[in-house]
Amino acid sequence: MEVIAALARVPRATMAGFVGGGLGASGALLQSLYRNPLAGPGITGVSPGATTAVVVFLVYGPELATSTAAIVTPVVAIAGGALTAGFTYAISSLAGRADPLRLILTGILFGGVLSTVTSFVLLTQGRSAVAIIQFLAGSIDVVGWEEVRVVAIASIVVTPLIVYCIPLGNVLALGDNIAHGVGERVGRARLMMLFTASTITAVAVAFVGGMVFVGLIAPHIARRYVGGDLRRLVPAAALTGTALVLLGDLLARSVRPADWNLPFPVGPTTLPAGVYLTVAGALFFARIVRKTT
Amino acid sequence: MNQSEPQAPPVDDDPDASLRAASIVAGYGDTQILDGVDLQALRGKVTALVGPNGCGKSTLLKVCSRLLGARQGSVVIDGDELASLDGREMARRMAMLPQAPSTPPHFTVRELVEQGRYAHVGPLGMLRRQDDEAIDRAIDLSGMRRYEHRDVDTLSGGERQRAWFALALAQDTPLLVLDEPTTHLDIGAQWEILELVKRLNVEHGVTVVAVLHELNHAATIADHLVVLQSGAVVRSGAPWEVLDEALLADVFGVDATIIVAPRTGAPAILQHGTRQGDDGVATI
Repeated sequence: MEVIAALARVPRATMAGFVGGGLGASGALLQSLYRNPLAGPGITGVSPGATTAVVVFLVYGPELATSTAAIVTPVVAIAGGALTAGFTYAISSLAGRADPLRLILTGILFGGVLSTVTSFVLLTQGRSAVAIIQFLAGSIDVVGWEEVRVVAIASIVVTPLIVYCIPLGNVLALGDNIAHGVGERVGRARLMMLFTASTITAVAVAFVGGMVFVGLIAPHIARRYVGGDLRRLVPAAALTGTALVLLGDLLARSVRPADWNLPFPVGPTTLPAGVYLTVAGALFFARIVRKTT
Repeated sequence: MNQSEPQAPPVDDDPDASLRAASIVAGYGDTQILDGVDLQALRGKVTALVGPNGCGKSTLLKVCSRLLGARQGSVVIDGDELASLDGREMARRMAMLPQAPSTPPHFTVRELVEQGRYAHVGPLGMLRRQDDEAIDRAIDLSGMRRYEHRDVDTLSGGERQRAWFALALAQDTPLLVLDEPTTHLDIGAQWEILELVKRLNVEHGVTVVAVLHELNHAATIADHLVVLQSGAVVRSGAPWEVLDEALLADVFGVDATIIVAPRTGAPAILQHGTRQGDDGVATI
């Protein structure tokens, strides 16, 4: 009995590792790309794009077997994320160069529009929306080996891309003019990094939903210890992200608000890990904002 | 040399020119800023671009470093069209230090300087720690050895500018292009930068093109001055050929006396104020 319980947790923990690592690494890349410590997978429009695509798919898409869903969901998420990233980039480039500020503003705009779409879809669903809300809040409850296998393959594919983005990001962090001056093709480097970070974020979103705050916090924590050079920051942020998601999942499993005799009814016995991570993320975010202004 | 007629420098196939821009027309959107400008950077010399705000100095440097495309005209660097070079090849021939670059958080001086090797080793080569001589030389030349492992964002303005300078030096190019390298620095830090420029030029034979605001600095360190006004070159030549009181009045709207600097023999400009018109009202 105990063996079975432990075994059931292995895919969850493995998934937490992959997802946290991916979000941490992509957050580190994005903060260099946007030259802004407040940037992260959430602000770039990628994660809202992927989320909305998955929600629309869950609601209107065909009913799929678990093994098929494990492959189709990330593909849908990547498509949604890539589409949003592409639009964001295209619209930012309309009036000249796609500089970081334009990219951020367009990303926020898309994020707003897309979350409205998500809310609308949810409203049409009434009571059956609970599963989707749980997805949106970010949880790793329902993960099995099928999903882990897909994420593992995705990680193997995307890791060389991340490694290639590290030197591009280091130069890009110095500003467009310097990057151009030392010989980088700025537009291409930016697109490459955006593509890589979007893909990682979308895959993470497909499996665990709203945990994108990890992508904002992990690089921050890591930067304090290893500095801003992406050659150290990216692996450090990936490790930090893994630790954060594991911690969030541990909390999600051990804290049971239903047992607290609260004066109001609590639906599920446990809260999704994303809830704890978002609370931690919000506190952290406030701290960063206070320090940078 | 008291011509009031604008005069363009001769553009020929001068093998002594490291960089040559000819008949450059450029601007942003509907605004045309440069109106057929010629510029030559003589090999082994310091060329200073001077002129009032908005005259097109920085725009000209941007065209020369391909940050901005020219609508007409061409830039030739060591006999090759700039437009035909790929980014990394260009970065091996010329290092460009833009105005007031913004510092990334938590980068050490050495990590910053390492990025100057990008054009030499390529993106994948940059994954390794760069240990070549060029970096150590750049750090030593710019006097940053003491700060090598400090974060750039903890340094003073002057030290920070020297760190950016070191990045440009790590590119190990025969040509260095500087856009107002002394802006926002106190005078001590300004002279540290200027002496560094002169030392690179004299001891290491680096060709320099610099936009400078302070005419006394330009007159002291430059071999060749190019005066721009409203997007055109109005005069160019050695400092004593170029600078005179009429030019200061016409181009800068400044009433000044030019004397011989006691130690260097260069022109030294004593500024009295804005030029007064006949009616006693400033003309600018």
